[in-house]
Amino acid sequence: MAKKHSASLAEMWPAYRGINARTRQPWEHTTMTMTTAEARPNASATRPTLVWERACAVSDLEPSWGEAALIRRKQIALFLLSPTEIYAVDHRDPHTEANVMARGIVGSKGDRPTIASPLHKEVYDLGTGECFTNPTLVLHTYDTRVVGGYIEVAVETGLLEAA
Amino acid sequence: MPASNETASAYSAPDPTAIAGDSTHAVTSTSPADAAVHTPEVPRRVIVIGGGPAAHRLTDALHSRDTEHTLSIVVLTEENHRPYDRVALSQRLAGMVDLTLEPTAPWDSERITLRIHERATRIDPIARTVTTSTGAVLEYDDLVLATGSSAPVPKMPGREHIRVYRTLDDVDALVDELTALTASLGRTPRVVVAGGGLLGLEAAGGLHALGAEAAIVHSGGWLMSAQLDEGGGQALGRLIIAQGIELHLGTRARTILATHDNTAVTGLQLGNGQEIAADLVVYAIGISPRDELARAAGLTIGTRGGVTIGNDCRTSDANIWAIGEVASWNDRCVGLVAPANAMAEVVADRLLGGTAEFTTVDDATKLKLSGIDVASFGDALATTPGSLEIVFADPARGLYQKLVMTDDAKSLLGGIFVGDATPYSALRPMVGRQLRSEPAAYLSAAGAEAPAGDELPDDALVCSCNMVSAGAVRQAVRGDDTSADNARGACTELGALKTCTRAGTQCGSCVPLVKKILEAELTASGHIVSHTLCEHFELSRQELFDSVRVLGLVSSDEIFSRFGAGRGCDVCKPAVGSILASQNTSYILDAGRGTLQDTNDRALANMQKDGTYSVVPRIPGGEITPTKLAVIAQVALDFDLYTKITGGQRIDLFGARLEQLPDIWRILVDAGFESGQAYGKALRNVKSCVGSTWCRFGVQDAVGLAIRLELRYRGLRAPHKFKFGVSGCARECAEARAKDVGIIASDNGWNMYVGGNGGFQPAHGQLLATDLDEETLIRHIDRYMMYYIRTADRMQRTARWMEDLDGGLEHVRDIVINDSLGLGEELEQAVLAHVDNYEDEWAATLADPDRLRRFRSFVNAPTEPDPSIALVTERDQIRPATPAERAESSTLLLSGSRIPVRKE
Repeated sequence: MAKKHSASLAEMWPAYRGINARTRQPWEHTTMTMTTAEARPNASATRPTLVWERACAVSDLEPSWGEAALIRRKQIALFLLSPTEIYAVDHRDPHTEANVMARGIVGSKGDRPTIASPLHKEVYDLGTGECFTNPTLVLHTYDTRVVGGYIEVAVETGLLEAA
Repeated sequence: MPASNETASAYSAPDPTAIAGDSTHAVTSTSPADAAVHTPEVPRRVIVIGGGPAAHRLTDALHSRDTEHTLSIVVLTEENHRPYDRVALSQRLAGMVDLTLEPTAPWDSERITLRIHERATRIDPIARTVTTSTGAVLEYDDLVLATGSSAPVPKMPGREHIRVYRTLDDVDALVDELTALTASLGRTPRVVVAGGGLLGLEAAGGLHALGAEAAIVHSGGWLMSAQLDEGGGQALGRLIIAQGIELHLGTRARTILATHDNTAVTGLQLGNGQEIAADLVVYAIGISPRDELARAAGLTIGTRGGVTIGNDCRTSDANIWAIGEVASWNDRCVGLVAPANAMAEVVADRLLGGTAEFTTVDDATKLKLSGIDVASFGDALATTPGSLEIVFADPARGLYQKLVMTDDAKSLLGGIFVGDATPYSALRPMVGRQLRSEPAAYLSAAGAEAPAGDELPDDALVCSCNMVSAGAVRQAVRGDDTSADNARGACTELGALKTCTRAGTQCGSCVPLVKKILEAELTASGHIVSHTLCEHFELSRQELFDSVRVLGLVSSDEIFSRFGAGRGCDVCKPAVGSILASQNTSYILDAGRGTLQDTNDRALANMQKDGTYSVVPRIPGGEITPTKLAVIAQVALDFDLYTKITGGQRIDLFGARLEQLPDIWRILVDAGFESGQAYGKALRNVKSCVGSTWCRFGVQDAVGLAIRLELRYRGLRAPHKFKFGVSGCARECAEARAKDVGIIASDNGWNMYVGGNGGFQPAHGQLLATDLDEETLIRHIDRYMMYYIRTADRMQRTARWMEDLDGGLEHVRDIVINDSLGLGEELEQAVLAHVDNYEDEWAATLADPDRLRRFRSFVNAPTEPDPSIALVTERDQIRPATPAERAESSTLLLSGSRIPVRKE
């Protein structure tokens, strides 16, 4: 079963924001509603259990060269834009369902970092997963952090079953 | 019973719908009187006699406009071809070009039956029937005569040896005869063309280009005496002589001289007493209308022949129309395509109940002869009383330009251009209108700038072949023409604009003007005519290439920091990657360049729909040893790959996962294979036929040349993929003319074609040069390819690039052959640098552990297969599972269960 998230993980899970994680990006202030758990009483009831899973060493990644990681049988695409700016998104291409997103071209649209699907070139915002070229598509994004030179990705514990 | 004959000879006889279409025309018990009563269910029966451009235009117009299906049409053509572009016969002379007139869609319509190789033999205007050479008797409600004309040959001794230049078969026969003569004589054959008009010049020029010695005998005092004044004719004569063609002016042939047994021509005796040698005599002295059917049917005939028509294109019989060269309007027949098309449009309109009229003959002509620019239009000979002639003549340079103006020097009446016809396309639509500037300002030979298209009034005809006005072109650019058949949105590109308006699709002379109007209109409507790459680069690809080249930049960081903005995107990054690869020929994935590469280049393999890759080893020229074939087979077996032969004489192995690519390539490289660059915007392959080595028809070693070329240009990256083809004889089995560079063997060397491609928008290659030796050929290809690589837009194939180049093929010829910009040496050196620096990308990858690291499936599980890949078996090979098959997972073969044993 594929999980769709209309609210971002950071939104549902504000406690983790900024902990050892990537540099704060401008869009986080402009495009995300900084909703707290208090403002959304139901959120706590549906809040998934998230764990930080180690993906690889920071030094394993070349700048702007995406790579896939296998985490709890889930395929996640990692992009290192700088040692403090690391993005994680689903490796699965939302349009074709092939696991290829890590092999797309990293770019930018305005000041937002982007990834283009290598198959049909839909362009997604790496930070939010929003698709610029086809609004009906969403690319799932994951929070990342660096601990002791290793990249960690926040994944739901339920993902084991999802695979 | 005629019906059986009909079906036996009808072009589309095997197609049952065509027979059904015919049946409305077959003689039945229905009397003509009954047939005249039309109900919507009984279509009106139209017979068109003739299958030339006029018949094609009429049928096409009826096909697209008869939306109510009120007509049923039969087209009879005595030639054994679909209607073809007679105007372009000179191209056929230069090579086996397919001249079939587009669109061919009408011939597939069930309302239209094209009967080729079937001649009309009799018209019965009372019974309203046409009898054909097969004995069929067809009824009509309306009959259109589009029989065209024939090439006249005067009665004279030796007449039986005379050849003419009129039909496709004439031209093909001339080419064959020339080839046979070359072989039997053991020397260059000598051709004499009688007639120094358009056709004669094209015939002489074409045969000369095919390697014959050529001479023209012309009764006029100067060439093209019907269209040019003496000054223009003299200038043209100098240009023709400069090409090596001999001229005999002011005289005619009296006798064709032959050998004693009268089996071969030896020469001509001229009216001035002179005897000239000849092995082949071609007559192209004019046309005589094919009005014999009309005469026999009792129709009114013009004083100089041709079927008399009125402004409505109707003949003296109310149910019979005539169009094209056979029609005599104002007691004159015209042998040009523009008036023929105009008449066809009039008849199409009338048959559908309209009231269109044919009122003027557009006499404009442009000579289609390589290397010679000649055009005349309007009142070129200044016959209007009081007209003024503004002339620029430079005999030394073979230039002559003249404008004919009204007596107040304000309105344009006509003009002549010889040697430089640049202003022709812009000025021709201005006939009868006031020019904005001094007439002399339009004479480009005197250094003036040709006027821009924006001053053309909307009703001025831009394309007279297809009757397209400047207003129609502008409307198509804006996309505000909402009529049913044109509602296709704004045409903001030249190709789309041509397709949509049909402007420039026949003779092509107005294309530069159409392009100008397009750009002016786009600018006016606020579109920026932008060639910039994307939001990250304000340069066009060509500008960026030049900057990178001149500054000697080698890294993408330098390029982005000097010219770019942001992180780039999937448009500009591959373009930068391609420019660096073309310019420096270094391993494309090193030093951050890997992040520039597009999907396939990134993995040095072609990504398929399920994220697996296909692998194509290079097989130069398509030649491969059985041992190497066995290696490919073993790899496919070991890794369980789907195997298919490509269109380019190579073998494609599908279903390889990213992490398998190095293992696969280690085996291939060890066996002597190298990357086929099927993933790159680079040379794909050089297709060849088996050539003279084995083929009993081959005249040159096609395989040898193909291999030499493939090894020279392999790995050369370009704005788009490119392919070559080499054929060992004129049969062209390698389909070289569908390639970016096509090479076809001639008896004396190689003919080089450029700008062909298959794919979405196919194009035939155009002849660039003939009879080249191998070294000259390679020099030409070096220059052509490198000039393309440096100046084309991103993702632009050679055909579209040449379309966009000002001057098109002629410009390419100037650069490649005449070296007019002095770039030749530099372009050749650039190719040489590539050849010196070439290395096989897969061998280079395998030799370096850092490079191999890029082929891991997962950064934390480098050899773990993608668990989501699902395959099924079909026709004994694997293929990706469809979504439905995935849902029914019991039928799946997951990739994990099919991993071959690794060979570490």
